[in-house]
Amino acid sequence: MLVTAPDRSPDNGQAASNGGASPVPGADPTDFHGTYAGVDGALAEIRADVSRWFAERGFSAAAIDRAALTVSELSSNAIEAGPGHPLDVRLTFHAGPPSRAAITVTNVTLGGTPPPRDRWAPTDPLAPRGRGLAIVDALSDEVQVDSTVPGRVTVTAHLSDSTAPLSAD
Amino acid sequence: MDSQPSRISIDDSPNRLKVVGVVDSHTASQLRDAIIAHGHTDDDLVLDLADVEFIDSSGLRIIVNAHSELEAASRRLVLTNTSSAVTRLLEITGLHEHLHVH
Repeated sequence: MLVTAPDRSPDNGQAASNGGASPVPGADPTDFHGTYAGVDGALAEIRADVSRWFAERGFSAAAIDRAALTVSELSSNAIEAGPGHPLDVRLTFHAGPPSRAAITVTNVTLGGTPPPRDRWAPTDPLAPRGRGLAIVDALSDEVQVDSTVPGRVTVTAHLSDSTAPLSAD
Repeated sequence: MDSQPSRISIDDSPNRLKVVGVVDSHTASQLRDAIIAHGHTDDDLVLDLADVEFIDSSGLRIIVNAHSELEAASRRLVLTNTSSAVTRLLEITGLHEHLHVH
């Protein structure tokens, strides 16, 4: 399902400069950039690549779980917004303590853009849809959405290993 | 071929489905189809989620839809043995207060 093999070579902190994303200041040169097919079948590979990258940098198991869920939600949204169009996943690392990382997903959108922050969670608790960004927000220290480039959406979630584990971790 | 495809398996018994593996947007339709296959009785339906390794909002969507549809038919969808991944997501979203979780 991979369109382009993930580039695990050093890119000197330039990874998150695309699409208006915000790189982590002082980013480690071993950042990650992967481009994946915009199909649901790519999700497992995206999660595996992100989990491996977090593990290689010494993040806790709880933080790795949060990263996997975060990138899964962001990628699912990306695939829904631009089905069949490749999506970019970029990871930047900042050594701690606490260790921090930014997960940036950039995708083509065929029309839909993320709602304003106050509508990330559905007002009806049993609404079937519309929880993805609220979940990412709960898992992250900060979430940034950039839809200023027509036809593209970039969402960056900032995670740190100091984030208090959720009760089920 | 994807080297690590999403995997889900569903053990089907009367009024009970045991879900194993990954529930994401790639596999959620299999869960939906299994639930629909239990649509022709008057009994509650139990989802055993002990062995769900990963679930995201795509999986929640199937569960919430099934909950609402069974409630409309005066039945209940009961979530039991929720794994840590399921419990975490139910708590993040507040759905543990609105679904039947035992």
